Amino acid sequence: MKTDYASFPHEPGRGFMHSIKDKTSLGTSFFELIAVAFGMTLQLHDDMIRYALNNKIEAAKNLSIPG
Amino acid sequence: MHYNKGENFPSNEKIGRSIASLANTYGGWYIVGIKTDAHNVANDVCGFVLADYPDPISKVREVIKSHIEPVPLFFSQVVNITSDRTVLVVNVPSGQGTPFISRDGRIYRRTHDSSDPIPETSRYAIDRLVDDGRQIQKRFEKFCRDERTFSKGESESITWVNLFLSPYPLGVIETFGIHSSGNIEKLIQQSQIPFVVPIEGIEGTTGHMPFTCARPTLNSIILEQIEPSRAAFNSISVELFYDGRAKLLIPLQYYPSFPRDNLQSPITKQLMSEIIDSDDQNNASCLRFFDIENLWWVVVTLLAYYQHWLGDQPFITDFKCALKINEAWRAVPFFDGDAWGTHVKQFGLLS
Repeated sequence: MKTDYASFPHEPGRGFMHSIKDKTSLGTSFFELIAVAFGMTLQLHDDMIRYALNNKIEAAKNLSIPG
Repeated sequence: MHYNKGENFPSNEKIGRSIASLANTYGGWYIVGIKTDAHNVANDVCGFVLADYPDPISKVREVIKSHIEPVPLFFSQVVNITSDRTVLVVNVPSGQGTPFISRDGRIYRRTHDSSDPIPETSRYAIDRLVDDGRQIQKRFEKFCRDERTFSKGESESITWVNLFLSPYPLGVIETFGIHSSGNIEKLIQQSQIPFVVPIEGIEGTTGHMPFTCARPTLNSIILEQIEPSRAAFNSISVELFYDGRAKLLIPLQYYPSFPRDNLQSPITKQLMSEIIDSDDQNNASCLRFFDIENLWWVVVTLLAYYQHWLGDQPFITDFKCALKINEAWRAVPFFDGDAWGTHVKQFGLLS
């Protein structure tokens, strides 16, 4: 998993810019922030995504979160 | 609109000043290869000789990069009018972070009664340019608010992961007809059919987030996934704005209890058992575990849905993005993998 570490340290409140051409990495850019905000390291973030892709790829086919 | 008069390519300095002046004012079009009359009205598309300037797009790009600070957004194209003559068209979008300073240290602007860019000498006007540039960031910060109303129970117990996206520059696109019944129906239908979820290094992954409810506001459409009986409460939602902005509002789903049963990872299973066995006072029950893997799927799927809706936009280069997480007290990201257990053994529990 390619990770762009350039967005850290992140300045809260100002957000970040993401190139519209990099469609595949928009999720990564956002989720790195989410993961670190919840106390995960970027390494654990990458491990989690690898785990998700290897083991539960079918889960994405029917996501459901009732309110 | 700014024309460079005549058949010759202008000097680098003149190109830089003209583009900077458009970026500092209301944006516009810069065209090379147009003849104008004495009143600066275009009266002939003469073009310039392509053999003299074989790569005009590269030339103007290099000039802009070397003559303007910061480099403004621009889009250039050539239009061949004969086999050997061409016209260069450069579009400079409005709404950029002003001021743009030219290489000679001046700030050029356009005025309605002058065909050429003029250096700004008014302190008030320069202050306004600086303020205009700051307003872009302030407008985005104002956009990044969750303006929904919550009951006391909701606001205290539910963690929200909120993502905000705004195309840059803003104001270039408008999604007309967003409020029509047909468009709303189409948005719901698109959410119910699996679509490609772009993930770095992985191809062919699909997913979807089926929405069940859609309602228009004055400038947006809000799509929600909610059962009719729970319509009184806030739920996962995507708000799509007519100008391309979006708010993705995601509630975290916590495990009902400490996750220790039916775990697949032996490392994580052993770790969780050790935590529970050493917890004489049941303090661990205060922790709120949630499935970070599921949250990742939700985020990438909703972002894909948004990008799918936005489509290919040639006049947008970037997204301005922001993340806000509310009420995440004692929240613990969890996934049933060896990596999670190994990490916690090494660095301690995440919360």
